[in-house]
Amino acid sequence: MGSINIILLTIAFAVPVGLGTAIYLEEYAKNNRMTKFIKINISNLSGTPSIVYGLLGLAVFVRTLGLGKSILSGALTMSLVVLPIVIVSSQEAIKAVPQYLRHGSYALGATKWQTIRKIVIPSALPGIFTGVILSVSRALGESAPLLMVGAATYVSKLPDNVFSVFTALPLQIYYWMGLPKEDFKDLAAAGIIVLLAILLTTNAITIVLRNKYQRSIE
Amino acid sequence: MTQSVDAAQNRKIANTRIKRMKLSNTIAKNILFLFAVITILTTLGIIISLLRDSVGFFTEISIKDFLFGRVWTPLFSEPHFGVLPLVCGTLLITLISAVISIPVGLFTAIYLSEYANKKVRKVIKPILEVLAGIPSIVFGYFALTAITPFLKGIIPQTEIFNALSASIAVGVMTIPLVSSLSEDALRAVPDSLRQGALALGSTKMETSLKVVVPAAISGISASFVLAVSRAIGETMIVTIAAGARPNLTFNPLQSVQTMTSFIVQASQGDNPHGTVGYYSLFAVGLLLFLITLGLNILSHYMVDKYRKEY
Repeated sequence: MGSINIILLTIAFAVPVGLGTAIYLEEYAKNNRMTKFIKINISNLSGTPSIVYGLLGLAVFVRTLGLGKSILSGALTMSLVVLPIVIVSSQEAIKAVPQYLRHGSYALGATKWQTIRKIVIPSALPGIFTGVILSVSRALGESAPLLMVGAATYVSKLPDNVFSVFTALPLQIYYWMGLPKEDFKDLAAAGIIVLLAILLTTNAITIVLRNKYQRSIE
Repeated sequence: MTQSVDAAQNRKIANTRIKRMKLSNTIAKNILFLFAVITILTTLGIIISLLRDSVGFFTEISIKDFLFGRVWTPLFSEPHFGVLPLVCGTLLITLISAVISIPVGLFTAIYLSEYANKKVRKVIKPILEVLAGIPSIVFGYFALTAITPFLKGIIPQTEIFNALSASIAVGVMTIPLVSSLSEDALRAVPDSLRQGALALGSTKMETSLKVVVPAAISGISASFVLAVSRAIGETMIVTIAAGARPNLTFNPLQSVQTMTSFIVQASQGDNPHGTVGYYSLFAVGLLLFLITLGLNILSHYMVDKYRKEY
């Protein structure tokens, strides 16, 4: 349940921001220094170790904003981790939308924003969706940042709001592995199988979607 | 009379609609720009939060002691904060994992780009992608429960937590990164170069190794740099499999602690806010961030260079 909560909130934060950034960079941004700086910055962010995001989450969300060791802090931290993935894959998808669709829309008198909303986004949707699934599977498997933000390792009841303490599947596995009793090793293995099953499914969906999408463009 | 009133009214309606359209266009543009600015704010946030808490650390420990001290015992009653053992552990793991991921990744890339036919590629590529999607905690479990016992069977004096087993897992994890980026670089090499080499009578292997690989070298080295930066930042595998003993050693059979696994260990223990122990987290994090930032910029520069060539 902790994992699902985190994932849902992460999507809610990361997708609008990531998609917005991608649209801005591909459609509006002029080729100037600021744009170049943003692009370099994004590629650096995607290379930053996730544990550093964890430190950021600890310092900013948990301490400074006083959100505590809650689902909200965890999800905010996680959205920053997956943000570069969403941006880059949305950018690719928007780039792949043929130019003549845009020209056709302008010729009918539509403004840039109308063109983006009604033409570009719908045709780029499969690619954007792929990026979202990729980031979901990344967020599902990621444990270091949540560990930093202070996810609990033993939570018996389901979280009831965004400020509850939480745990997530990978963290649970990490905790089980640290316990000396042999039974917990088996529990960790079982947890891994569940995690892998979920991830393989999401990956399979991504691959199928992409194949379909590539064919339709060709 | 009524007709012209209607026309005027229509024009008015049309004008307000156009105005509204233009307005929403500007608003949308600005909102999207704000979203883009969030990414910059994230970087700034990382730098500021790391710096702010590191300052608390460096007022008590001098930068020189931190960078060149040889003892790292932050949790003892008489703490020492010399980061060298952590850097050394990180370096050791990174080196061994690079020895695994770079050749395997590169040869996979050469095979996929130069030799494999479409069918084989269609099978291998998704497998690599799945490998890339496996969470590091799973690799950590694999290292601890499969690789370590295996190593123990060969070399009995291997410790339960050792650098070698963690490095192997990190190496395997970074193979897909090297292979997919190198393959992109290899495929960007124009076919004319290959045909030229073949026309001069070289074999396929000579063409691949002596013509295509050198032509794609900046892209390939960028992928190496990224793999190294990924290995440095890798957290869960080393926390699980390499142990937690800050150890100034290059013996891969012993337990070591890396910068990342220290951060995890320290955040798990009770380090109240405001103590040197708590601040040391951020000092180590800052060092880690600067190292990976440097490597990322380096690889970015390399990719830029190779894009210009073709």
